[in-house]
Amino acid sequence: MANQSNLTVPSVEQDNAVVLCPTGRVDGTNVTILQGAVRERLEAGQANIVFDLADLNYISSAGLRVFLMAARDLQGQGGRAAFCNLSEQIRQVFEITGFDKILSVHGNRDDALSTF
Amino acid sequence: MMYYRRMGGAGSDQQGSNRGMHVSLQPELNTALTALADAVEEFAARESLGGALSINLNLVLDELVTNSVSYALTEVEKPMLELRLRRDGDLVVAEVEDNGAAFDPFKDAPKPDTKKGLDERPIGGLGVFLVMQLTETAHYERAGDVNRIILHMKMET
Repeated sequence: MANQSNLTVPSVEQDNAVVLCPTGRVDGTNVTILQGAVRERLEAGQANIVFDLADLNYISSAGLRVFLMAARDLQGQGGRAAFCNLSEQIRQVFEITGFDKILSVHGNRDDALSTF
Repeated sequence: MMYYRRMGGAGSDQQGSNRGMHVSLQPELNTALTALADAVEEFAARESLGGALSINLNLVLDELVTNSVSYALTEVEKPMLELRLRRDGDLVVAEVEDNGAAFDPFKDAPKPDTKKGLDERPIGGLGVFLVMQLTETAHYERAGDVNRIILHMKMET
């Protein structure tokens, strides 16, 4: 099922970063939820965001665009985005699109946090 | 609430293990993507598709249906959006048809440069690129006033 109720973005502050955990599915119908969660942190002046994708089951290009914009916007305000716990399918999509080369991708949350 | 109608009773237009599924999608994104995900889930269960293939099948059809609903069909008076799924040996064959203006995404859509760095990467073009990369073949044809895309994906062995 693809609808808004299938995406939540719980967050936790850890070390000098905030960890966003998109949970469920991201597609064109609910991508604004992910976008909103990122924008809220950007506007609060948050510099570093870890996207922990352990509970993300599905992502379309709509969600990938949000990741790309987030990484760019964070860099623009002197911070960084890091990604961790990619499922096999999401890793494949990152590789196909070359996102694994331009985004900071890590095996687990601790590794991602240690890059800041 | 019924989001779509199934053709031919239980969605079968062929016999045996190759029987297909035909779903008419509403040209509204949330409804269409929900019906699409349901159809793929049902087809994947019926044909015992692996988890990765099932997700990738959902993904490539999501990208095409999203483009149809968001661009091709916005100006069409009586929009039509049809999805067909069937198995042909070790291939999954998926067809998406809409009656929007002629548009070949595999020729006309912008190509992303996957070598470009974070700052230079254009935001668009990723969806169609994923479709081309995740399928064995991705074919476009214009049939009358219909755009038809035919995708082949390999069954996992």
